[in-house]
Amino acid sequence: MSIFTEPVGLSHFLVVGAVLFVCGVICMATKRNVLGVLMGIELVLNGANLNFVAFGSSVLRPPGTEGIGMDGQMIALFVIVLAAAEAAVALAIALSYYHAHATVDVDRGDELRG
Amino acid sequence: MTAADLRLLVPEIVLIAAAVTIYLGGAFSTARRAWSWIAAAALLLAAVALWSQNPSADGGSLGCDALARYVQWFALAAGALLVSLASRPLRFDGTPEYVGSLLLTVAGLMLVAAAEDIVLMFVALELISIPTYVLLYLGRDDAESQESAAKYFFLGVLASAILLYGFSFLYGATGSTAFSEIRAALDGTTILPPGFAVFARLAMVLVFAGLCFKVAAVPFHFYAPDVYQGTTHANAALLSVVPKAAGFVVMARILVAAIPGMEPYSWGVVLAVAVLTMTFGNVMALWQDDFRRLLAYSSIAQTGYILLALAVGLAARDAPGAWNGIVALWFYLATYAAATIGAFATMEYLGRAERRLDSVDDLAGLGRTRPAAAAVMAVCMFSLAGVPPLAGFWGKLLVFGGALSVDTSGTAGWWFTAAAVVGVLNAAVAAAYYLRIVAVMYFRIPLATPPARGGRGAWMSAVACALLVVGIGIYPGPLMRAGNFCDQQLPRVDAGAKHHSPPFGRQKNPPPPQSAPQFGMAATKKVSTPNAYHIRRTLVLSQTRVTTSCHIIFK
Repeated sequence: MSIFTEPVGLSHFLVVGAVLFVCGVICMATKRNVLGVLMGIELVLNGANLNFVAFGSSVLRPPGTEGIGMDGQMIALFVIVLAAAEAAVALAIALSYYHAHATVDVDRGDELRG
Repeated sequence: MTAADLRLLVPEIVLIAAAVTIYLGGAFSTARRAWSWIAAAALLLAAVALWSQNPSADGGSLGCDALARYVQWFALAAGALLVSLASRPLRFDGTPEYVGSLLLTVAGLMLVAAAEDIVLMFVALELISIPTYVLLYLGRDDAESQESAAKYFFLGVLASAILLYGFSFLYGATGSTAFSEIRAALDGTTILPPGFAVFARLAMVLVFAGLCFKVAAVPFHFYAPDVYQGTTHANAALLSVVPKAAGFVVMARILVAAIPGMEPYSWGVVLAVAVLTMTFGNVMALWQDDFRRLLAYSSIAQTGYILLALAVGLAARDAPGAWNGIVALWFYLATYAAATIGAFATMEYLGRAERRLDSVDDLAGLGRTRPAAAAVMAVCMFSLAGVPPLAGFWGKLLVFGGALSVDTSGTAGWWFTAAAVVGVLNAAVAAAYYLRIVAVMYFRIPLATPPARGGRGAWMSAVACALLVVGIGIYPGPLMRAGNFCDQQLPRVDAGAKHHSPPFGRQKNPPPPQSAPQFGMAATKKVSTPNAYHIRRTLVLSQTRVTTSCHIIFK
């Protein structure tokens, strides 16, 4: 049975999570603008979040393992808060990077090498 | 969360309350020295609270085993040294924020040590990471510093995300966030739902990859030299100790204790990463002129040795006749941290606010101009190189002896013997650049007298580290025993223990560790085996050779 024909289940959520994660990593690797990289971070963290929520859902888990509580959803909430904290620090770093380099192009920070 | 859990958290609560007070009070007064004293008082208070805790209490998602204890004391000691090291005023505002963030990272490391739960562990790791980003940002206010902060931030967040992604699969495979239940679900007696077994392996790979960044192991090491070079000595000392310790705690908790049955796969990966890391770090360090860049490569190489200890621990944790790699890991980490903080503190002390000492050449002739500082730096360098009788020697002895002690009747043993040979060669290569610093200090003509205006705090920190290095070197028994306690209480999978523990039930108390407690003499007794003698002789021989050749080169 193909993943495209079966009813929506856990594996579909995992695939979407993996796609989000990989998109985020590619975004972080290729974007030159600091804010673009920040968007990549959000994608990566939310890919992991989607996994947690899907694994924690009692509807999606395989029979016999449904009663596992709300842990997955709780972790997702924690991660959302942490991502907000990280974004605040990231914007401060981006601002001071802009003050130092007069640009938000990460490729311009190339003074440290050797 | 009960009152007992809260009591277990008192040291961390004290530190975080002090950090918040410092942040708030910083709006009214930016005097660096006062805030450093408050931070020191908070660390002392936290130490008292930790001392008066009941170690046998059950804390649910808070572990209070010997490993947690060891790393918590380690965190407090490192925190005290770092607060003392960074007590010199910054040139611009932000000094209270700096001290407060330092306390938060210490609290984060203490929480990581105690975490027995995925959620708590991840949040605690972020409690280390986010203040570290702030510290890097606050350290200096030039373009280099902002570049290094941006580099560390983006890679740090990516590593956290990879770790989180791995945690999600660990949670998915076992349906629980508590390590005791994860262990129970993965010990081979429970039948996982079809297709779920692969998630545990995936989780192992992702978690290890995420942690490799924290400990700066190949192939996630490349940020370290740039970041260290672009920041201050105090920040470099912090980066080379706190995230590394946290990374190794999580590795021990997850790879060794929480994912049973994976050892046949995991030791190979860890061993390969260890050998690559130590070789890469040592070779690249050979031609560095910037002091922090050199120590960054040195810290990468030291990570390799510690990973070798972890691989030994994974492959032959309870094998008869094998040395315990996990004990070596904790011992090595402590000796490495003392020597590294000491080296950075000496550099901090020798410079002054307007002009840091950045290059190795700045140390030329230090033996004549600042003999005390030169002696402290030399002690730290000799310890990092592993020269007896300093602390680093015992660490290397335990690591390489452990690798040689793995039973050679299987393939694993040969791989470990090969790794030990590579490790000893690496130690010889490493001696070249550590001793180069010593040679520059004692055999070169002084260019200028270093100002030595780094403050009394940095000097106290440097001297304390040197004393620790010498003290542990002369009397390594207590620290080895402490490391041994850590391993004894780390859970292990045992054939007899596999039958209780319902697969997905809410089980509050993990089954107690099954091993017979044989605390005490085990670690110290091992030092007298023939292997130990051989390895010691090899080490000493290679190092004397390199020492003499260095003298010839640098005279």
